[in-house]
Amino acid sequence: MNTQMNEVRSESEVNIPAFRLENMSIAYSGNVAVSGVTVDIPQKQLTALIGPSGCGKSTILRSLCRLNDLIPGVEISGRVELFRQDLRQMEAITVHRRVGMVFQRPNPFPKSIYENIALGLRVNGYRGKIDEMVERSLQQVALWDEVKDRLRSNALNLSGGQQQRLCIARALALQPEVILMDEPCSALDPIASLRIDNLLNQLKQFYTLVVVTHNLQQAARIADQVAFFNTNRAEGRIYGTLAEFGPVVQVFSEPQKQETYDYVNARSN
Amino acid sequence: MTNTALSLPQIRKLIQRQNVFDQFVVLALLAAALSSVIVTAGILYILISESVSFFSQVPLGEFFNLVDPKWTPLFDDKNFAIITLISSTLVTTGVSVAIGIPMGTIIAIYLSEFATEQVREWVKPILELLAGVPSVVFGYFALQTVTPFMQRIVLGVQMFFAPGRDEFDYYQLPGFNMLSAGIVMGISIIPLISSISEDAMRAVPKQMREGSFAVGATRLQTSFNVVLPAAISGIIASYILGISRSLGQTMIVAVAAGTQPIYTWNPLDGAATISTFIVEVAKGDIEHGSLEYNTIFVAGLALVAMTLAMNLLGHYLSKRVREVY
Repeated sequence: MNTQMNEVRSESEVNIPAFRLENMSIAYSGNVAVSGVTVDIPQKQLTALIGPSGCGKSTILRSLCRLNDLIPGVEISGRVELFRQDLRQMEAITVHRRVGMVFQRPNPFPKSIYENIALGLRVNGYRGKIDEMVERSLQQVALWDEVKDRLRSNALNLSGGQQQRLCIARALALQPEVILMDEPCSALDPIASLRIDNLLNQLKQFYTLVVVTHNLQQAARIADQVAFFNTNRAEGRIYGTLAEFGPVVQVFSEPQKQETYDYVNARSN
Repeated sequence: MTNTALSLPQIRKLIQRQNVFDQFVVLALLAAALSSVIVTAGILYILISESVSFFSQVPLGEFFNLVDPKWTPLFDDKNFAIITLISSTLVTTGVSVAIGIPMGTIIAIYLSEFATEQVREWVKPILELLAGVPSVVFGYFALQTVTPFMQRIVLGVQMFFAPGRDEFDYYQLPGFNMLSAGIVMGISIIPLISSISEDAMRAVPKQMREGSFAVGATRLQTSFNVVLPAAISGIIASYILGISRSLGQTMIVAVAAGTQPIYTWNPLDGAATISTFIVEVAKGDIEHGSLEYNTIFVAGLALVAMTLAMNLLGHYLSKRVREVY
C-alpha cells in the first residue's frame, strides 16, 4: 500500500534501537531543563517515561518529534538518532511524518471525524484510498463502530475518551514508525483510560511506543521498558536527569538505585 | 473585653443593608445597559415616523420602482426610486469588501501565524495608525491620489489591448468614481478586519496547532486547515463589522464618488450613495417637515435596514459555523 514507508521499515534492522539518545541536554532560554540523557529506546516495545513533575520527561518526548523547534529559545545539545539517522539534521516535516504524537489533552481538529484523519493523509500526499484508511485507523482504535454513522459530524462533539482515540487513529493513519504519547490518559476518566491502555497493549506489537505517564499503575500495566527521570537541584534551579532505565519488572521490583526505589514505592504504595 | 462577634439581629441588618446596596448597583448597571437600547429605539422611532409621513405622500410602488429608477427629490419633477442610491451603496461596499476582506485576512494570518514578535511589534501600531486616519483624509486621498492613479491604469489597460489611438479617444475614468472610493474604503477597513481576525486566530489553543504539525502539516497548511476553521466565527464577525462600516461610510464616498444620484452598477461611474445623499441634503436648506426633509429619514431607514440585515446574517453565520474548543 504505502510502499515508501514500508521500504524504510524493511531497511531498518530489527535490532537497532528506534531512538538513540547520546548525552542529550535541553535548555529553555539558558535554563537547563534536562541534562545528559543517554538511552537506547528499543523498537516495537512500549517505553514508559516516568518521574516527578519538572524532571524533563515531556521535554525529552517533545524533542523526539521536533515539536520543541516551535518554541523560541530552546537549545538542544548532544545527539539524537532515529533509526541511525541524526534526528536534528532531518527536516522537521520528515520527522513529523515518521514519528506520530498524541497529546495530553485530546486535540482533534475543529472538523469532521472523517476530516480529522483525512487531513493528515492529504497533507502527506497519500495516494491510497482515503476512505479505506479512515475506516482502518478507526477500527484499530476501536472507534469505528461508535462513529461510523456520523463520520461527517464534528469531532469536537465526541467524548474526551473518543476524542483521544481519534487522535491516536489520526497518528496511526500516517503509518508512522514511532508514536509518542504525552500523558494520553491524564484528561480521561478511569474507564476511558483503561480502554486506551488495552489499545496500547495491542499497538505495541506493531509500533514503537514512547509514553510519558504520571500514573505508575498505568506504566506497570502497559510498559515493556521504563525510564525513570529524577529532579536535581543546582544553584537553586531544578533540572532532570535519567536516573534509571530498564525492563519494567526490574524498575518496579528490583530498582538499581535508591531514588528509583523511593519514587516507585512512595507512589505505588 | 469587647465582644467582636455580631448578634443575629445585627447580622440580619447588615445583610439587609448590603442587599439594598446590591440592588441599587444592579439597577444602575441595568440603566446603563438600557441606555443603548433606548437610544436605538429612539433613532428607529424617528426614522420610522418620518418615513410614515413620507409614504403618505409617495406611493410604495414609486419608492421601489425598478423599471425606470430616478432619485430626484429636490427637483420639480420628483422621483423617489431608492434603488438608485442602494445600487451605488452596494457597489462601493462591494469594491471595499473585495479589497478589505482578502487584505485584512491575509494580514491577520501573517501576523498571527508567521510574523516574529519583532515584526508584530512594528506592524500592529502602524495598522492602528491607519485605523485612526480621519475619513475625510481618506476621502481626499481617494480623490487626489487614487483616482489619478486609477485613471492612468484604466488608460494604460486600454492602450495595451487596443493600441494606436489618440489618447483622448480612449475611455476616460471620471474624476468622481465609485472604484477609487471603494478601494480607499477597503483600505480603511483593513485594520478593523485584521485586528479582530488576528485576535480570533491567536485565541486558538496552541495544542491544536501542535496536533497539526504532528501529522506533518506545514505552517501554511496548519493556518488554513486548522487555525482558520477554528477561528471562523470571530473572522466572520470582523467581516460583518467591516461591511457594516463600509455601508455607512460617508465622507470617503461623498468626497470621491460624486454626488449625482445615478442608477448604475458600474464601479467606474460616479454616483451618490445613501449616506452621500443624506449629507448633501442635510447641509442644504430644506424646510423642516417638508417632503424633501422626510426623504433624509427614509434613506436613513433604508441604510439601517441594510446594516441590520448584514448583522443578522453575520450572527446567523457565526452561530452556524461556531466551533467550540
